[in-house]
Amino acid sequence: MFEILYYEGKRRLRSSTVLTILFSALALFYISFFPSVKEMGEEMMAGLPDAVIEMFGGLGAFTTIEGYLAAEVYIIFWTVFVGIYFAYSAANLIVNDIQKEKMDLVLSYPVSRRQIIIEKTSAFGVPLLLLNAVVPVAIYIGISLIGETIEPLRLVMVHLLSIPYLLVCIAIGLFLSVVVDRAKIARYASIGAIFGLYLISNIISMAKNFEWIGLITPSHYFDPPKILRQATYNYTNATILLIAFFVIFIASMEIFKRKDI
Amino acid sequence: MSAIEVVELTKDYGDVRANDDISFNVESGEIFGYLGPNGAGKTTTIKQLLGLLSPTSGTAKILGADIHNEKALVDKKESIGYLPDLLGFDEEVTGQKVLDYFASIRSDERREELLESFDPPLDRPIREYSRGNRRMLGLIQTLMHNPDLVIMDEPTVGLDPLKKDLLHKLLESERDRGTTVFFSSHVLSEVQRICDRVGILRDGDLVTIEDVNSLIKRGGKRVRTRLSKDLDLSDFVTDDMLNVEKVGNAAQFTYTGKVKDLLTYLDELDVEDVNITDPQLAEIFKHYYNDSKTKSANKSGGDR
Repeated sequence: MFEILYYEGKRRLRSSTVLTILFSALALFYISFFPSVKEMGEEMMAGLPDAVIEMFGGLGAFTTIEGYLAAEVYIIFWTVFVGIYFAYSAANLIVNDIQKEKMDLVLSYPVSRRQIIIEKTSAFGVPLLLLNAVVPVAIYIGISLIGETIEPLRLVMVHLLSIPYLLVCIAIGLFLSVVVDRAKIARYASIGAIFGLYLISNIISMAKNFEWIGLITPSHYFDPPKILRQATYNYTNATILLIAFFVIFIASMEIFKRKDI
Repeated sequence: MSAIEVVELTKDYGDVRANDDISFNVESGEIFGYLGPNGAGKTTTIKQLLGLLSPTSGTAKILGADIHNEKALVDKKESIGYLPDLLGFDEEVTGQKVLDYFASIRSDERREELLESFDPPLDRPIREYSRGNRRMLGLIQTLMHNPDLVIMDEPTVGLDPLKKDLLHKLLESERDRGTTVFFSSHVLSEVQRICDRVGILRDGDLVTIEDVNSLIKRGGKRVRTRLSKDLDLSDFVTDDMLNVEKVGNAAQFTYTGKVKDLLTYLDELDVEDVNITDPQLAEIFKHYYNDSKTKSANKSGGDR
């Protein structure tokens, strides 16, 4: 028991460390720009009518550190790129092992398919924990260095509430990994899915009559600006994401259990 | 108890019937050769036995576990070793780590002993491995937990002749210790050398299943002879001779009768030299292969 998890987790450790360092560096890079963005933003906003300011996300969307972080770091990088990283890696999980003839060998060992998929997916705990433990600390330090302050709880919460969202990204990748027969297609589809769902949720939020379509997009349930700027923590949305993760995960597992290798 | 019992196993891919109603048993402690050209359906049978593919119909038991019962099958895999035809490992990890990983799932009591015969460069990552080294690593993981049943799909592909010989000897000693070996191959000479019984597969059909020795016996004797004088073919040939080739006073043929009768007959013809050998399995295989080809041609003709 847990041998697969241990092995896969160790294999993920290196890429997770690289990713964590990369994201921390990127976040610090963005934070270093904040003082000049703030200055510019304040000047710009001063001359704009209220309706236009509202379109950009309201006063403070860029001129407060919380708004700036939410827009630049958490929406673009966390929701889109980190989401894609998890979906892409998960898309490789099963189909790549089958295509590279690795699954044959593992399945000749006394392990069930259920155990394989559970332990391999659990190994994503390594990048999930590492990213969410290190990146907020780096960001907090970066913010202090430029002389700004942020309530630490908000930072903790934005990471905590991003975990259900990232789990759904993993589940989407995993689902593709069990239904698609070629690893390359599964990987590309996972990028398309996460990016596409993000675009849909963004575009739909502007089209009032079609808002319901946005309900099927995971990013609808993870709202970094609300968490960081208003300290609003929506646990219902997090629960919806967790349920979605479990439903897609169990569906993927059932498909994998019946799949010809 | 049979180590493997296959009952009317069928795998239909829609356009191809890779296994068509196959039934056979592999007894405990024997080396069973599963023979057929590439694409005959050997790997399909093996994958069904291991639960990698689900049969369209029919079933099988492996060490007593029904292949439809995942839990029972998984438990039995403690005592099964499998060497697939195509070996996939994580390319960036070293051979040592691969073996450590597999040993963590199942035991590795014989790892050191096997490493004395098969010696892939364990400290190097798999991506640097030659085909032979990959195969050796595969062999070690197949056997290191001392399995009761070994399933090998084309095990000697990529091995050099010395290692092939080592593997053959190893499998024979395994058999003598009571291990069952199920061995698929398209290399007839190795099947002839080490297998006790053989099943011949063609286009998804099990054409025959027989003891290797009796198969060879039934295949008659390969005879080459030189007579003191040139005879007409019709004066020379008897009913027991097949595939006769005669050039001048030299002749070669397959003899299906009793050797004693052949010697008496040749003596009467004033023979100068005679050489009697067992036929190669290849020749017998060809015979079954051609025969079944005709049969299946008739069958599909009848279907239409």
